[in-house]
Amino acid sequence: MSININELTNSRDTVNRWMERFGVRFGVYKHGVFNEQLFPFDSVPRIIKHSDWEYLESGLKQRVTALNMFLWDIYHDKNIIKDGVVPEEFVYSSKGYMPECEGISPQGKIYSHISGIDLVEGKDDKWYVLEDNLRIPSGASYPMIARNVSRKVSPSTFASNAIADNRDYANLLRDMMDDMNDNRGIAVIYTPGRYNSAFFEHSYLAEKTGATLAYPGDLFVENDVVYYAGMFHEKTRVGCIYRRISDEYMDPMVFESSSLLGIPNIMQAYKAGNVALINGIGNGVADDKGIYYFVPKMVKYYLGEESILQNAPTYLPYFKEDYDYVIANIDKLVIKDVSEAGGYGVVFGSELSPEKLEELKQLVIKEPRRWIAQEVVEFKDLEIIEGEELVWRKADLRAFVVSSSKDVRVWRSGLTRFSRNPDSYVVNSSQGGGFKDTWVALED
Amino acid sequence: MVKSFIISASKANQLYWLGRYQERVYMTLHQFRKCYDQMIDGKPEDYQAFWDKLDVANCYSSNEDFTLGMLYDENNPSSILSALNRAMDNAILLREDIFTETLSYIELSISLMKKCKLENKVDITLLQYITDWSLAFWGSAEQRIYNSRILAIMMIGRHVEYLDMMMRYNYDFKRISLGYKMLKKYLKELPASVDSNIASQLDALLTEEAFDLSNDEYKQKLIKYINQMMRI
Repeated sequence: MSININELTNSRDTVNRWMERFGVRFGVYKHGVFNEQLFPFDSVPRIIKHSDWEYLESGLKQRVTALNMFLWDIYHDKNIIKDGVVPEEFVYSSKGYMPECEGISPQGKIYSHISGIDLVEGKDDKWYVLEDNLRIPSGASYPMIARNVSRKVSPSTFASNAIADNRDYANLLRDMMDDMNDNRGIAVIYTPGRYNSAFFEHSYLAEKTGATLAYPGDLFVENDVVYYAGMFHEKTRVGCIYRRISDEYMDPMVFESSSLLGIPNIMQAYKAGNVALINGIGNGVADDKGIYYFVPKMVKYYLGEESILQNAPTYLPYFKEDYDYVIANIDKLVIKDVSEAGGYGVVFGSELSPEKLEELKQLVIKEPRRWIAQEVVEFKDLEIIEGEELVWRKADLRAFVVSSSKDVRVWRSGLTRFSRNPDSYVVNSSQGGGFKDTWVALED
Repeated sequence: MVKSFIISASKANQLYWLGRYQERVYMTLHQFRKCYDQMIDGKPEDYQAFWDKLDVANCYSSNEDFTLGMLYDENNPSSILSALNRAMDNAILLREDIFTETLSYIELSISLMKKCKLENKVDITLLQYITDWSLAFWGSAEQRIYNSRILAIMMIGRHVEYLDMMMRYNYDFKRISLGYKMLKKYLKELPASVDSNIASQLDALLTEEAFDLSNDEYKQKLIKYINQMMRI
């Protein structure tokens, strides 16, 4: 790889101006007020060596395949519980478990069509999975559009480096949606609307895939079939919905009855197999922070293979041995509330005062199932441009895996998010982080 | 991938209003430039003639106050920045239909106007960018939008606004009847959306013999009908 850092540094502002021109933003609610802001782009890419990518790709395919098998099992035979691999408390007490999904059989047994797996590269050169996101993972559109702009701004950088083109993400989605749609009707991306934090992505992916962007009120169910309503009371059948609305708001007849965002009776259409929901409902049981601990065991159980990807060393206070360790070492561990997401509910014991640490300890003692604890993984820092100089910051990688009934494909790129603050491990955009493009080398 | 050629009611509404607001930006700028030129060596209250035609209460005290307000006052629904913001409110929901490149011309315009607002700057030459981007917006829309009904709804909004503004500013019959012809061309794409009763009344009013914008009753009737003709 030959990277001209000066050229990339010089191009950063130009790329960000183009991103502004294209409206590349995300929304944040602060004190109940919605604000849109630009997602700061850093033009020095994360580069993944070809051999590393081959390893990651096979590991990600394996992991997501096992997670989809787990979801099928949980909503059907529950063999993994019966065989004592995953304790039933972790399944049934999970907020993501939806009893309403029992017995529903999505096409191709696929629940998580789009999986966002968060990884970090440790200082020991090993990759660790930090989190699985199987509900509505977001973020792929940012590196997609950033690459498109960067190629215009700095063509020589791309002429002199053999890297995978990541602008095919829309094709991956389109192929998967076509497979799930099965010629039943139109394909729709269903958004809660402009005031959703990821609205840019919803609209951009609709544009790039050719799907129809539908808003609450545009879709309705009649005789267990979903339709898109036209301005003259005409209707057209909907075959698949890439929904960007949380499970609990999807159907007010089944879940949250006050939801104005949902589609009444969509669950009936889903159950009848008349519409594909991407991702499926009830996936939260598999990306629960408590279930995360069991994913390598799932791989072994369903596929008979050792897990290729490693979890960060994790402890479940639910188990006596882990409980004792967590209580004794709480000041050194990262404690995560399993019910929180988006970087919230993550506490570093080392950053707490003795009083706060004691408070946290008491919470763990009171509700051990609510918490997981992890060793602090020393991430490899990445270079980012701060002003005119290069500085090192923590960064993670969200890899996207697209599953259909035909195959499982890993997008040859990903969203690299970095922390703007030195020493902070929290990289979420909602917490002020920025992003980088992720280059996958075509050869070592 | 199968895409719907059906247009939802909310989308139709957004397309129509996007067309209207985008044209309002263009036409307001056009009128504003004329007024600005007049104010250079005119009387301190020259802006009032411009303002009165919009049928809204006067909230300005001088030419300077008016100039800043017409450009940047986001609480003044007639200002250029307000019209751009409202165009964006609709356009942002329509990215998949109008495409990112088309949307980008509104982004560019808002970004420039906000920058000038921050600097409290009145540079009439910079406004040419807004006009250029407005025309580029329409060029991009016509080039890229392949669903003829989607384009037609935007164009209907555009021509309704164009006619409304021309009537307010007393354009001549030739200009207004040409604009009306264009509007009717696009209305043919969506006959079910046209109020045929209002359309026939407009046809009767918009003849060379009947045309008289100095007659206030006639003028108000025209403006009312042109705004009510399309049922969205």
